[in-house]
Amino acid sequence: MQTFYLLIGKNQLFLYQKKDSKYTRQYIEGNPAFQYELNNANHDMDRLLDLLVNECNLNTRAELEFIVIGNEDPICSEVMKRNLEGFILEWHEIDTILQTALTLYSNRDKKRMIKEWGINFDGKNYKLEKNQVSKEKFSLLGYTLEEDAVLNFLK
Amino acid sequence: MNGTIACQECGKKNAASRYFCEKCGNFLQKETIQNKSVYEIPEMKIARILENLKLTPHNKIVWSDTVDLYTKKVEKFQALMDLPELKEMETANLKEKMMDFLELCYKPDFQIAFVGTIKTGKSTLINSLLGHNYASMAVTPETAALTKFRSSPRDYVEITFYNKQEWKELWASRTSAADAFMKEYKELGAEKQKKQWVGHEAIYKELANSAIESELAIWSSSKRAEHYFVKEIEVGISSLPKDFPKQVVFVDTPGLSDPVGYRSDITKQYIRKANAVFVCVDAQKVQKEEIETISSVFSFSFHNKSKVHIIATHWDKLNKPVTDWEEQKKWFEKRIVGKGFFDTVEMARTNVTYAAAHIFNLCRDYESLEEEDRITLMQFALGMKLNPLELQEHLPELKKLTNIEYIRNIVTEELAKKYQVLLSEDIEKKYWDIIYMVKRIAEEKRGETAKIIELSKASIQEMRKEIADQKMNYEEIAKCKEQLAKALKTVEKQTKKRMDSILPYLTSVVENEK
Repeated sequence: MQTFYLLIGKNQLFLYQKKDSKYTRQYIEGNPAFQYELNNANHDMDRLLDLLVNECNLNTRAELEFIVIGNEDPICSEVMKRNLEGFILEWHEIDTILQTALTLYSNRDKKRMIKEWGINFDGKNYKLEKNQVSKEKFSLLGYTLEEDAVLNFLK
Repeated sequence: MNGTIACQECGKKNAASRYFCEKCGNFLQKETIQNKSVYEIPEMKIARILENLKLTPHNKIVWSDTVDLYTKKVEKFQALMDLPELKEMETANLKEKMMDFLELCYKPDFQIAFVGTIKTGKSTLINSLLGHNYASMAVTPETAALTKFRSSPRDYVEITFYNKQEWKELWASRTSAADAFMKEYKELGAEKQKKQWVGHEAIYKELANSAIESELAIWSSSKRAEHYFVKEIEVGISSLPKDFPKQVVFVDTPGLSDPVGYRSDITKQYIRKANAVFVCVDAQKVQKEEIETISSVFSFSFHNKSKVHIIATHWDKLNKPVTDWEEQKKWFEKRIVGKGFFDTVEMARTNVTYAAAHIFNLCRDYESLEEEDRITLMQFALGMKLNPLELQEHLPELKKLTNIEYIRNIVTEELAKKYQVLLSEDIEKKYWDIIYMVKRIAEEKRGETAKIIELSKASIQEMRKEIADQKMNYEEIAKCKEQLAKALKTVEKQTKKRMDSILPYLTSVVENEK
């Protein structure tokens, strides 16, 4: 089985594979992210699965499985869930992962002022308030988390 | 002395008066201030702001590259206005302007109102232009709520309800023809649901594209009680044909002759403010009622008659569509030109056309047609002297005969493009307005900050003197104000005294004249 870690963006997907506890971004057709359209997700996901089968020299799609990190937008997540049904090994909510990130940063790295200014990710700003993740508009003061860094907070 | 200072981090040359590098935010005066804690946090703040400005989320404007650039900039300004330092400033006016500007760019509105009596095929025509059957086209009258369709990056349905005052006015506006309305209202048990929906806040639902039809049916169908309380529905569709102009909004109206006056007033309002009005009349029976409808539309569009387009629908149901339509069009050109209608025959010629939207939709959905619909299409093909057994081959020709492509062309090439020019000019003007305000605020803030820095450099005694001078100024102003008020009161008193003495004399003069 080929296991991919899939991070769902608003109109792009980021794929990773794990080797020796390290996550490496997978390029699809030479691109760092796979573009998709929400209203054409069915067709786009078909294409992605075929591309992965080819690139990994697999016999069938059945050899593919995904550990997925959802999007803060429930529509994106819902559409992806539906289109990847049967291939999902694990599903993680992005809020949970960012909560881990916020807790760790707040405790270990006070210099980044994450407790005060939050983390920016995918166009939103996240803060920890009474152990709950709150989501607001993108903040110019927030610490912007790159896609590649998100997987490091997967438990 | 060189008026610039080079940043040790990025090498950028900054004005000597700057404290932080304008490119990377690095503190430039590290040699003069040893204590890191003085500049560490501001330095991080500025560096972060500069970095995050490049990452500010952006809603791409697909219909204009220039407007897309403007929007990017204003989005960044908007993010800056949310910074704690600027939040305290008097920027409410600027923030409102930026929000309105962005709203106009994200959702530019070129409204085309579809008007006509019931069952003239407004919804069918709209569906043919949208490329899919979103609006209900049931056999019995269906569109009971005003519904807007627009292109959107996300699929959504937004439902607005009447508030208490609006409902009161609506209820009071029932005409004598509202018996059927009242009967249905009772049969559906709508009164029980009134409390739930009147005054309800707007519902905004993002949903999958495939769920739009069913969601719309819940709120707009005349067979459901909810529709009575729905003021307006807006549908955002992400899957419209690629050439569908992003700024066009189709407004499907319930009807001008609604037995509830308030609702037909809403339709009239839309006719007035719409950029174009498509009046649907049934080609089979252009009679008094249809002419009255057309006349009504013209009366609300007298300031811009060229925005009215008459579309004779159900063209395919005429006995001999091609020849019958030629006759009918000549009749239109005579009947609806002159006072209260089109100004010239040329205008009527250009703005009167026909449509066979149902046939177009059948051609579009050919692969999934049911037997009954296939027979309808075959009958139409036969009427057009095409082989009904070779429907697949004749689809492009049949589609062309329906005239929908021509109408779509009017929407995209004529109307939308013209509007885009006017809209772009409007947006450009608003953009420079915002830039001017932003520059002014930046100057004010810079001035204040410079003053604070100067003050902080001054000795405590100088600061105290500055404060005392300010206080003296305020006291002097207060004193002058008091003196002015006193003087005004004296003038008022003296004027009254004078009037009291003159008035009796004047009155007696007037009496003597009598």
